[in-house]
Amino acid sequence: MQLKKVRIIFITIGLIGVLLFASPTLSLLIKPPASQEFSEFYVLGPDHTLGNIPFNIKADVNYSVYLGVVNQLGSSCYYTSFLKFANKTEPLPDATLETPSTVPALYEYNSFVTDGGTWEAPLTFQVNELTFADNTSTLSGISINGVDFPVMQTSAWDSVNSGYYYNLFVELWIFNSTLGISQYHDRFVNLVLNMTQ
Amino acid sequence: MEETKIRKSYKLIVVTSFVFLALSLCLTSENIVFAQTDQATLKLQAANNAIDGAFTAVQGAEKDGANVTGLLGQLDIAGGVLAQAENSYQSGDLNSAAVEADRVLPMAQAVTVSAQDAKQAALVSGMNAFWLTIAFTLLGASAFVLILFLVWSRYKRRYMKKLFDSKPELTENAA
Repeated sequence: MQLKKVRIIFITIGLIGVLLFASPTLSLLIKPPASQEFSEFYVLGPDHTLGNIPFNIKADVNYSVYLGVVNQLGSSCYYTSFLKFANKTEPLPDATLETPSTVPALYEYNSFVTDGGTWEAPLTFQVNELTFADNTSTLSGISINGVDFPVMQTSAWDSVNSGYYYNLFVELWIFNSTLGISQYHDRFVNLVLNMTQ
Repeated sequence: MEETKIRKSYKLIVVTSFVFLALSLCLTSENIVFAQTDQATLKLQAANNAIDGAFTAVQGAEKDGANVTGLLGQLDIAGGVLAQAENSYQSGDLNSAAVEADRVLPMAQAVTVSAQDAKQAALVSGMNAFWLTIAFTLLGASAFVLILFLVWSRYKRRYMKKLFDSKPELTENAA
């Protein structure tokens, strides 16, 4: 083999070796591009499946579902889930404008989730003092995870969908440490409830 | 006649006193409710601020490379108590709200202190790791290049020697 060719091989081996030794330092200086960042927010039925999610509701009966949050934002996050109860005429969160509902929150969950981690908690509810008169249902109280909340909500008979409908929905908020405030995270889950006698 | 007048005045005084007493009682109890609400609101505000501060400290430590899984676990417990306090407040149980909010403060403060310590430790170990990496690169690459150069020199020497040894000798034919 010619000496010139061997010299080129040695130089190539030298460069590859230097690059290999420099790779730990290069990894400190060059950051890989971040993967897609998002949060998952979900509701599951009592069997941890999408089945048996409560719909037809009777007074003084306990119903349960599971709420869950998955953090894929690249760092630990502080989430607050606000549970709200509304009738059909009251506004749900606006997905287009990314604004929360103006209905006041009844109940809240706080969760601190590591990057890639999942938080899950049970949500049990029971409606109390439910009355029906003149094609209108009136609900005076709701119990959430054993805590009683007074609510005064009415819903007129929906002749199209045949029922007295209410919305039990949960909004996901996230703490912004730069601003020092919690902000609506543009995610919510909604349980449409039909009150029955 | 005078006796009737005195009796009427007496009755008026009694009724007025009763009304005054009832009114003042109403106002006092309303004040107590307002005071309770204010107190619970202030305590909840303080607890919320403490949790926000603790989380910001934990996030800062995480950014500097600290392992914050344990701290987040502690914060999750404190956050659960804060949620209980908020829920008690919403349901009208102001006393429980104030008591639960009070419980949050020391928990959040403990997490903040631990997060600051973890941040300092992470900064020191991060700096050490950085210099160790730089040293590994410089020494490793230098040693590699030096060894490669020595091998190359030796190879070159042997190659040249071999070349000279195998050089055909010119002999003069004198005949």
